[in-house]
Amino acid sequence: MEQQPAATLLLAGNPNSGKTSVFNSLTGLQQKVGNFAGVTVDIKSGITTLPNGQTWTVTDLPGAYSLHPTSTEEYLVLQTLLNPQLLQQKHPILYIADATNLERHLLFLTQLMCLGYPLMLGITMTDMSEAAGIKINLPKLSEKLNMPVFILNGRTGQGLDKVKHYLANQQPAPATPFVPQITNIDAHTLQTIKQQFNTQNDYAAELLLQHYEQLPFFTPDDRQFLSRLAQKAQFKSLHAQVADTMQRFDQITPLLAKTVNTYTARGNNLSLTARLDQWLTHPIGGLLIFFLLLFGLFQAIFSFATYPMDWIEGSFAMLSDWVKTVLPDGLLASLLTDGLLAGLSGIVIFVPQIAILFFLIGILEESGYMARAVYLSDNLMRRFGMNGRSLVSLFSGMACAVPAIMATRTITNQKERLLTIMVTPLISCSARIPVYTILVALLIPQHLTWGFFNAQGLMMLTLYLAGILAAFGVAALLKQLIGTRELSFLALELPPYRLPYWKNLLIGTWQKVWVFITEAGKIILLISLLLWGLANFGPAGKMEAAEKQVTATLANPADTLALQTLIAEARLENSYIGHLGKVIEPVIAPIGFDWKIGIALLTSFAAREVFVGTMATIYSVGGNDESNLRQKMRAQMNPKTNQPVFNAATILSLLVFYIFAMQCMSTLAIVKRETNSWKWTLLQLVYMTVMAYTASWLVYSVMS
Amino acid sequence: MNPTQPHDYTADKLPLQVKAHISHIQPGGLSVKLLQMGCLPGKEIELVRKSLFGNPLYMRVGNQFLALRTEEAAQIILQPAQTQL
Repeated sequence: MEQQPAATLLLAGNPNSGKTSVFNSLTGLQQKVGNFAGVTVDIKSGITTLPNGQTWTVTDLPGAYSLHPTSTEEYLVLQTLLNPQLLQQKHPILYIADATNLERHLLFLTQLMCLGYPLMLGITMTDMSEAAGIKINLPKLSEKLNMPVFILNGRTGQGLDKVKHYLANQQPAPATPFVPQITNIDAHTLQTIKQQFNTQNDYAAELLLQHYEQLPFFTPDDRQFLSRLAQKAQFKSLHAQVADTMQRFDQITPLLAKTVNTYTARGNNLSLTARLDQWLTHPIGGLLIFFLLLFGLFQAIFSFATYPMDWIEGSFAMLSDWVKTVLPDGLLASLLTDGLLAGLSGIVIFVPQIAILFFLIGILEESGYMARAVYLSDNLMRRFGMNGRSLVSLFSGMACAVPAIMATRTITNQKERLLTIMVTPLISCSARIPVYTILVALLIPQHLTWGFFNAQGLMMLTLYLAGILAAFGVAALLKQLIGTRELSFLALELPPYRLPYWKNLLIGTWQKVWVFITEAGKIILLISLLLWGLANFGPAGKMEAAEKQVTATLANPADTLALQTLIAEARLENSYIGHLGKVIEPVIAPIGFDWKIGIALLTSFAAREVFVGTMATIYSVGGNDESNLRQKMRAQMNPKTNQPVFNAATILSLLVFYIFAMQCMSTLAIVKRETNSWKWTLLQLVYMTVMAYTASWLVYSVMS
Repeated sequence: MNPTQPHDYTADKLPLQVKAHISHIQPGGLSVKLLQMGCLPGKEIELVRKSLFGNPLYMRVGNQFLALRTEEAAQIILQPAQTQL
């Protein structure tokens, strides 16, 4: 059934041009999201079928204002379009332009024309432009640009059949250059570049000279060659970029004067936006609304997601019980339930939070509000090397770092994005709550109050604040340390408000969920199986011996619950992970932890809340009785000092450790996927662990 | 246009809700970006509002809205007020 695609169609256009809607309308759910080699920008591809039965691959290039890049996405577009192979193949490009602002949107188009790609122009938002009194003479525009022009609407699908019909019936011809001559470089230099890099295209040669430093397909020798050439020709890249841009606008403006009539000066598609923005971007009111929205976002992930999450947990528990009844008690059953099913459940459990967050972020992005959020918080966030979109991630991080880190994709500046990824896991997430709860309850009597304040509540608040302060502190520090080739700028379009398009929201949400399951899921499953192996195997014979001893010494072997919990404890103690706990004891002793806590630290790497379960196993607490566990922990005595293990110093040290430590394999997995680099993933793991250890050591030293 | 001459009348100095026209863009790191986003010579420009600490600025350029930091707006040189019609 799978048919080899006959050809490739590229989609290009400015940000906010309605390109995504056109892409989603052309391809539906048949899309693939691919990480572009070495860069963490998604390139989406899909399949569309023409009336003659041919299937075509449609590739959605990221939004770009021009071929003179200032963002990572624009660099990617430049790299792709200048790639020698692609220049040879000359895939046709459907260029999407917004009718309400054709002048600006045509700049990029005229550059593509000069590269010689076969072009079609798709004009969107004509409903808005007509309301604003803009009338476009399509035949004349088509004649002047010498390419077919279509009126498109991604939401209704209007005009897409005409595009497909056109592609089915003719071979699109290479566009005629919009600017006939290259004037920024002398003819000799131009000729040298064309010969050296085997291209016939003048404009491609000029772009190579302008941007060679950023083009990945060049060898160091190539770069040196071009650098010397630029020096000899006294070629100033920035100056030439301005000249190139102005030269184009000098022709676009009169061309549009002949083809577009604005017969009222109302400009009225902006009046609703202007009125809404009086409130939404108000210096104080706008900020309040933004923080209310962020709070709502957090609430939605935090509370709505619990229902499907409970259901998922329940289903996996049932499945696991069923496997245990069907299979004989033993290693296979344990592998399937505690290893595989536990791992799978650890992946699926994130889906509700990811789906809810991306649906809501989709609404913010599609409606045009997100640009306002960036505007409102720019002043604060730039000090920490981040931007307004980072706030969305940091707030979401209070529910869960995994969707929060995925949400950083919308940050186009790579440094700002990396900083956000690096500090988001410091924000206390919901998985820390069970750990905090039990430790705070051990530390502070429940009924202790100061006036209105409940002491336990204040302690919890302090823990959260410590995480938030740490996140901003680390960001301020990393801002100084991470170098970047990108300029720090805002210069941001505030697009007109629009109703979000449900299809874009659903497809976007589905893609995030799928990417998480397939890409981060692999790593989560792997670590989960590894942890299972470490907890279920031990040095030869030790676990069995310990198990026998427990059975032999128990006074009342008929008490099966007591027997089982004691056996579980003995097995865990003698497993590899139990031994590891003892191995790391010298390391964690200075921060007040014994080897039993060490085991819990290791197992809770699967997920922080596992800490509680491991504590219950280690202290032989059957069932899920938390107050029972608290009593057991309180009663634990250190055999050497005869003091309680869980004294104030150790509890505080443990709390501090859990604020800062990267105790979450799922976060690790998603950071790897999003940064596309083990370097940053491991750096994060190391810096958070070091920070946690140091802070715990300080607290423990002061307290004891 | 002579970029070496000092320019006093830049977009960051516009009073609130006063309209002016762009003369040209001062050469600098962001000049291409500003042009790409439609800050073209001759366009009408207006400072719509400022954010809490006066930076960034909410501007209207032609028929679109842009958020610009003050140092970015300072790269936009305006036509002297008296030549406006």
